[in-house]
Amino acid sequence: MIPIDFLVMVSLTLFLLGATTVLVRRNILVMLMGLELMLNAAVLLFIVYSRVHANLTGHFFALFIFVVAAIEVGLIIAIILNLFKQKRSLLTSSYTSMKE
Amino acid sequence: MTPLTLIYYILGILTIIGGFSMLFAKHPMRAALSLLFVMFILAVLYALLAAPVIAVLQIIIYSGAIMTLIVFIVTLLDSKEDDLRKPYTKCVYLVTFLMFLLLLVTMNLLPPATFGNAPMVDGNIGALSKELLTNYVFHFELASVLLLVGIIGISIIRAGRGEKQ
Amino acid sequence: MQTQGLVYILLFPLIGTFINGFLSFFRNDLKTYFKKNFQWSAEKFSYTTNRISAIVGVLAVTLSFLCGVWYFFELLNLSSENALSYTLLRWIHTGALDLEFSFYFDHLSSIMVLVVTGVGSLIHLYSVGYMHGDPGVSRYFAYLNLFIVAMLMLVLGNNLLVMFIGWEGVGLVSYLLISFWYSDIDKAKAGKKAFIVNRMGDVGFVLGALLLFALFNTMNFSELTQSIEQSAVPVGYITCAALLLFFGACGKSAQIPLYVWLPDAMAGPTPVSALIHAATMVTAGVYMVVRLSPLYFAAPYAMNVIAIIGAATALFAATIGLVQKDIKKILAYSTISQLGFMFLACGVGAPIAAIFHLVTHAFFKACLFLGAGSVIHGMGGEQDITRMGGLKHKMPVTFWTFLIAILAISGFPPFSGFMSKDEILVAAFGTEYGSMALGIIAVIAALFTSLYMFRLFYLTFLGDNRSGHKVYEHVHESPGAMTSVLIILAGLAMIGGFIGIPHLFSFLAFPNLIEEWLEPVVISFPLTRHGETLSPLIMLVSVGMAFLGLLIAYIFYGRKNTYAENLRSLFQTTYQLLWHKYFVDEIYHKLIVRPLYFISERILFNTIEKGGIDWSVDFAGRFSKTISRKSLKLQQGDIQYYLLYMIIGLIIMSVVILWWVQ
Repeated sequence: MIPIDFLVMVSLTLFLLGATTVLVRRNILVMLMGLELMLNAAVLLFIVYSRVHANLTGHFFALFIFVVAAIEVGLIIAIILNLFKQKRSLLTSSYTSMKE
Repeated sequence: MTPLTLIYYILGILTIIGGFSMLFAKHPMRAALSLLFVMFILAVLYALLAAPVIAVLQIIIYSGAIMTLIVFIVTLLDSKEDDLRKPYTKCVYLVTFLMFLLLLVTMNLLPPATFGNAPMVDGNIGALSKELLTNYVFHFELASVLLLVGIIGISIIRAGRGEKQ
Repeated sequence: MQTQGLVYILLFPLIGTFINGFLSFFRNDLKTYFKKNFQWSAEKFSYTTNRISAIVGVLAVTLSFLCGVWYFFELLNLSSENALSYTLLRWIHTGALDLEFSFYFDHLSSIMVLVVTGVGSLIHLYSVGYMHGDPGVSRYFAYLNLFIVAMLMLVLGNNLLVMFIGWEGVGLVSYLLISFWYSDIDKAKAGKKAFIVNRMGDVGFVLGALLLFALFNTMNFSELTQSIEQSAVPVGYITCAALLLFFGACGKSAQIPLYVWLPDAMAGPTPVSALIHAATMVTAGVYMVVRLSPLYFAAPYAMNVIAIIGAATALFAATIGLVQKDIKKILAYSTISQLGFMFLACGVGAPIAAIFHLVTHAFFKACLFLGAGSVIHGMGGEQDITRMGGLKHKMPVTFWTFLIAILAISGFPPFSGFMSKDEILVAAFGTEYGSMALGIIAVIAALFTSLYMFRLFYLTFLGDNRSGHKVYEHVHESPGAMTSVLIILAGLAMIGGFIGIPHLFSFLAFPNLIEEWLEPVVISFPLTRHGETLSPLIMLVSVGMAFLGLLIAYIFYGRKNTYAENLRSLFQTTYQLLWHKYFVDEIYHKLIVRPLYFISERILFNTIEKGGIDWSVDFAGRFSKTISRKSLKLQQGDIQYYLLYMIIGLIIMSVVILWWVQ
């Protein structure tokens, strides 16, 4: 037996933990990690339901999420490096110059 | 409760612990390692859920490539200062809790998944590749284009700026 | 029956419009182009373009005229009940409204087409001479050709809406041509006045057309005619529609109370006054009333109104014409007066007489205006007849043609005006709708017509010259292009009347051609027995009035005396009243224009515009500014706040959607 409800709950909890990380942590890198965690939670859900319905569609979603995640991380790290070069800081509170 | 089910529970609880550990980690490196841990456990879960290819890719791409990159950047930039912060943190926790409730409600609204010993789908590399190169070939190509665009984007963000300056 | 060619009647002037419009619109570009590539001097360029414009303009209308003649003969070969029609396209097709854009060439419109294109092409030819050397020749011919297009559309349209396009088109061109020399502010103002007064009438036209549509579900003329004859619509509705349409006709044909624009319209070039403000456009109202005569016959009250307004206008304008000094103004009031005669004819149930007078009037009034144009041309722009005189020897062709036209308008037999005016007078006395009062007013108006025309004639051509030696030396006969047109028009004014020889002479076995021709499409009321017996007497009176007018004019103006001066000082009040045109413009200014300004400025502008609209717009600005200042605090510039807001938004949306699902 596979405890589907439990796995869905796990996925949900992971997603919310990721979101909370994004919202709470000030370090851009940690925020990025939260983002990754959210993505992973989504992948878990896809895999679970792929198993439930016995088809491969969920696997492909997972696959493409990996692709997107890879690109996303690459881009974000590039941006982070640029930002860091400007202010030597990774804290979001340093980057509030859009205000007014 | 069969032993397999028990394993599911244990793995699930482990991932959640890993997630909390990431959320509350003081040092970014510790957060990164927690995330790495979560990803490994998830890979095991995928393997159990008849998705061996995804499990392997999870380890190679996420744990291998992405997390290595993140860890590398963390060590490179080495910014220690970080803390759970500000009065508004409470508000965030409240929101998160609300979200949790909401998702629970939504989940209950979904039609219940009937699941006993459903037939297992063949999630091996052969079946997956066949499907990927026939039905999903267009999406596959799109993904490759996306990767290309991403590479160009990264090089512009990094190199393009340097040129101007 | 191949009727496609009806389009060509309109097509030629339209092409002319485009060519001339092109030359006018791109004049500067073309000038630079030719200067660059062909080394043309400015003189050579303007000479060439003017030549092209003139040729194209005249040719377009002449071809159109020839087409008209061709179809006239086609129509002649058909049996009398038939008409040619050609549907260009199915225009509006929605529910009850099913309109075709089609042209209808029947006996009535054929006459109008021939008059419009015939007189039109003569006047185009005249314009070549008159406008010679003007920098805007291309523009001028573009407008004139456009006018012919619009007028033909008005005449040929087979339903009220196509007619309305033409109706508005001629109004537009009239405006453009009155203010042709727009750098002169007075002329621009005159154009504006004509346009605005015409718009007032147009409102009546549109409302009338819509009412007709509401009553009979059609705008097609032939269907309307049928429906009116068969339907049982209350006469009140029909009267209302008829009066609304007549109000439109009042605007276009310069009747009381909307005549005020026509005298001012003389600011335009003289050929324009001749073509648009005498021969064709102003008769559009008459044409419309005649075209819808079944409607008017179904509304006796409207008929009476038309007759009274027509007669009143005829007399009223004629009295003003007695004392004016500007040669074109006199002719303008004369036009108004003659149009009054036409409406009188319509109103007493003699639309054929109206059309007949329309045709002859087109000939002699065009001749008079062109003659006046020739005089003005020769005098170097002088328009005041008190400073003319003695032009007989200097301008013989103009003199003789003018004389013929005057004899025609005054009603001397056997000139054309006599025939048509006599028919109107007989109808005014003699038909069922006519009455003694209308007849007597018409006779007095005829007397005044003769009087002011001969006054004009004596002061302009005979007697001593009062313009001063210098000007008089320069007076010269106009070029051949102009005089030849004058001669043709004078010839038409002389013999044009023979298409409608009065019934009194039926023993001579001459047929009344125009009546026979129009019989199938337009019905005239027969004379009562009373009228029949009166008609010889009326003819005598009419001729007598013409001679009386001549006599009085001779006594006062033909000889060297101060009778006119004496009379003027004797009746100072009356003279002032007439000289100031009964102060109608001033009254309108006080009664309509000033209150309108008051309402616009004080009420609409100061209160509603500033206090209402401006304020609310300002308020919107102020409001959003305040809100922005307040909400600025939400914008921390911190990405995590934005994310939080986003998630809160997501939660709210999810709740809403869940609610929805439940």
